[in-house]
Amino acid sequence: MKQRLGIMILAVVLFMGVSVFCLPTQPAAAEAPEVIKVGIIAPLSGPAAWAGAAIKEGADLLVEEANSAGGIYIKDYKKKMKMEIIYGDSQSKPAIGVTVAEKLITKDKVHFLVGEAFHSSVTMAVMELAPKYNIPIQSWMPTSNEISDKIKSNPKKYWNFWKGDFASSAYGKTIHDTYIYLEQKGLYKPKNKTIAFVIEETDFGRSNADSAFELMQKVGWKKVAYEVVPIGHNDFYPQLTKIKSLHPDVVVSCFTALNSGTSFLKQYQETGMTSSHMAIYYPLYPELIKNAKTAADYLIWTPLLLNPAKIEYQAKFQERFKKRYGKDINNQNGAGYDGMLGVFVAFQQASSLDPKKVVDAIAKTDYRAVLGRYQYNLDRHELKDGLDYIPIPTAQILNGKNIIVWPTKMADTEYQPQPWIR
Amino acid sequence: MTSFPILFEQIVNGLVLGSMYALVASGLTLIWGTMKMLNFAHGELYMLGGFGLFFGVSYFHLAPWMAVPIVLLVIFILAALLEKGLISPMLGRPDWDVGAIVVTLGIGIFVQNFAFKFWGGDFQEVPYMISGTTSFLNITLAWHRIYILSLAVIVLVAFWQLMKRTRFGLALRATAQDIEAATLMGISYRRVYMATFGISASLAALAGTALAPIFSVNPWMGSGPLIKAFIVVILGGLGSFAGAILGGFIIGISESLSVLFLGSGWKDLICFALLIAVLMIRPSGLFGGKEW
Amino acid sequence: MLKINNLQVYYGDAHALWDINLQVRRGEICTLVGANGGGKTTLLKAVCGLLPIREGSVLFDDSDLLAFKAEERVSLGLSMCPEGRKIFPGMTVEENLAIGAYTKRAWKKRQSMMKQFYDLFPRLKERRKQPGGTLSGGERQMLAIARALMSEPKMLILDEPSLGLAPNTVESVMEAVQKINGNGVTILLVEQNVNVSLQISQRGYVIESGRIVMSDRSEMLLSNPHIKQAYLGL
Ligand SMILES: Nc1ncnc2c1ncn2[C@@H]1O[C@H](COP(=O)(O)OP(=O)(O)OP(=O)(O)O)[C@@H](O)[C@H]1O
Ligand SMILES: [Mg+2]
Repeated sequence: MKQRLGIMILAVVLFMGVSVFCLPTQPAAAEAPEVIKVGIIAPLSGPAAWAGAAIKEGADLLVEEANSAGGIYIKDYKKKMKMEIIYGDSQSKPAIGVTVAEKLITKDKVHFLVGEAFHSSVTMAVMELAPKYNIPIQSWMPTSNEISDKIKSNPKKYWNFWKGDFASSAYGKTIHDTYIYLEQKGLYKPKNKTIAFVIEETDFGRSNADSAFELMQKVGWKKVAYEVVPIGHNDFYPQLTKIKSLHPDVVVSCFTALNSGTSFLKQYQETGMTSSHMAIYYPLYPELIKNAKTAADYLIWTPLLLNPAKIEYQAKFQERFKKRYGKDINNQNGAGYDGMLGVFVAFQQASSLDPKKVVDAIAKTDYRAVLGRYQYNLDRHELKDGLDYIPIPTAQILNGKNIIVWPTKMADTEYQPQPWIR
Repeated sequence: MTSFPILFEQIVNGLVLGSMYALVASGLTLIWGTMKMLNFAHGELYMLGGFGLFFGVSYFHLAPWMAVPIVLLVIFILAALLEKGLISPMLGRPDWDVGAIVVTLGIGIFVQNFAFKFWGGDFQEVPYMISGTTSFLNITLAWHRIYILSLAVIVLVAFWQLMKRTRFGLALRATAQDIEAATLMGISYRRVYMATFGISASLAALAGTALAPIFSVNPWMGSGPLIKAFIVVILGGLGSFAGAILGGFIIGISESLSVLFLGSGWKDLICFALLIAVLMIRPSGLFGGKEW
Repeated sequence: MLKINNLQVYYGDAHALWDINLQVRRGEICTLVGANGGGKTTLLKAVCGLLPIREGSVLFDDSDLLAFKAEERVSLGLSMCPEGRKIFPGMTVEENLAIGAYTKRAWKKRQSMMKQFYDLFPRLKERRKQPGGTLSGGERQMLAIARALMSEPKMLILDEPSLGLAPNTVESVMEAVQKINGNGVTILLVEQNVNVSLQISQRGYVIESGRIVMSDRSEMLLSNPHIKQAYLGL
């Protein structure tokens, strides 16, 4: 029996090993490199593979455009060089992310590492490699404040690590500001100032909820429920039954998985909830409205980052993207494109492959892209948010369309009261 | 503090959840009970059920109630062929008797990647079998949930009757209990294995079709239910059909009640604590070691 | 009825049976006796198809048994009541009997057959709904015999039916065997209880260390000095 167990474990380990080592490998770099190699770690398989695939589409598009325009002039070698991406699959697991990162750095000898492109948890693990390896490392979509807290507490250690997204408190701030605004305008009136959270079990979910509540608490709100569910969770009846019995004024939900969001909206209606409902993140998916149908109506949510009808840069990106892939853009496409554009800009500014120079260029980053204007907050190595940088507005779904309702400067219409509130 | 109606509503939620756990777990326990083998591809068969319904409804424009039986039939045949082609040759090989388990692991990984490659990693939506909601005794429930609960109960009762009353059911139980004696009765255990694998796969696929409208369809939808099913099966006793059903309902209800009393984060912890407690009192599970 | 010619059987590479020649004639009770480990069970398993046969032939009613899979041999009319009874422990007495009639032909008649065996073994009728695993040794043996007969075989093979039974139970089992034979079922009886089995049979074979060492009419064997000394302890 022991022997059997041994063989089984061996088999499982073998399978996992194979999937790590089957990643595309490149021959070791020669003296003067042919191309600028950028390693990108993303969840390419597993429950978040959709996100990895979308980020890849965006990043690939930028590289195709940049390369066909001739590439980047590098002074060190006195020639124009093209970029090449080598992908690594983290499978959404921090440990695998680290293994893949080591492989990309030591074996593929990448000049720039994106680690990770999506998960805060993987990033937290990969960023520990920064002091060991002397190359620029950047994360793209992770927002967890813990990442930038670490950087702030030890800037020397993480000099070459940069968090390519804004602070996770940004969404919480939008929630707080939106409800304050609605109350002031007399569009919504809480009875007891109570709030319930249903969030995904990720650093992302927790930090959003925590930063929102921190701000709400200061103006007298109380938390009555804090329900944490695994990624991809779908059956919310137990949570909703419980929350319904607590009669909170506001329910805030936050998921990164589209299916969780769809289920939550449907079941919110099915169980006859009567609280105001604000969502974080998942309505970004264009499919949400298609999937949840009328259950999505009147939902208010943040952040509406894509609005090609209004934003010219996004309209142009949408056009090119559609030509290349035959479909509409989503947030991950934009993040992949913008992230890769950042890498491009950094190398172009540095005109060198020298890590020190590239990192200096990242610090000075200032460019406009799909999601807004990219500039770093230098003490936390994280992007600035707000109207002038990356705006984080609140939208409402009305008749199957997303319309910005806050801040007033960007708003297209006024908030419509959610008909189920009682 | 908690009023009775809420408690009652939460128990109903747990029953719906539990009925699905029972359905998935009963397929798993059936394979163990008969073939003495763990099927790590069970979650992927569940996933195929979901995709089958999705394709039936979205591409072939079938009504859901038409699509489900067709999906079950296709999956039954597919699984039976898989058993004959890949698993059967590994069974009873004295040199490497975990071969069959490893083969199922391989099948699972293959199917998952196949689905990802050809059907994509997106979450696909499937419409509810019956749309709308209904209210009774102060509980609001989607009709689809009532469908799930009654479907599971009907199927499990029908399956129980199949095991007790039909020639095939008796042959299956006989094979499970003593393969040599079953052979002496004229039963071809290879055919029983094929059919068992097919039935087990159909049970998983049925759960997949029932849950697809709630859970969305994607290549990884099977891993969660597989883990739950393993917990249920171990709790109920490996190979025990009654154990799988009871275990499914126990886990379902304990989950929904721990959300109510402790919060969502406690759900899995309570689930494991329950499992460990049962195993400490009865090391082979609630109904472990009993023949059926 | 059953004709075994020059049979060689191996367990893997270990040679277990050498050159077995054995015949059972229609309508008779034929006994195979031998000490522990002589190869009796091995021979029966080979005949029923539970063990592969390396060389030799087995004819049953003039058809070559080797052309049939183990489970197919039942429908030819060959049924075995295995050593240790092998009752299905989780199935009731009734279910055990029903599964005995698994072959297509027998399944239709299972109700009337069952009644017939309840008459032969009234004890089984009392325990109809009881799981097989809870029966006593004697009841199990009766159930095993009845179950083997549910397929309406032409020939019944019994592997040590008296094993572990009290003397008077042995007697009633042997009476039942004679009764079954009286109904026209040919019987191959394997026994260590040499005295009892040779008394009810017409002919017998003696197997020792995987070889048939003697064969004769039963009463001749009973009076054979070697048998007397080695098996009857006289
Ligand atoms: N599966 C097996 N593998 C290897 N050898 C075996 C196996 N089964 C039986 N044997 C050997 O074959 C020989 C004959 O065994 P068998 O069971 O046929 O004896 P038997 O005459 O039925 O004895 P008993 O009266 O004790 O039932 C023995 O030496 C036994 O050890
Ligand atoms: Mg024997």
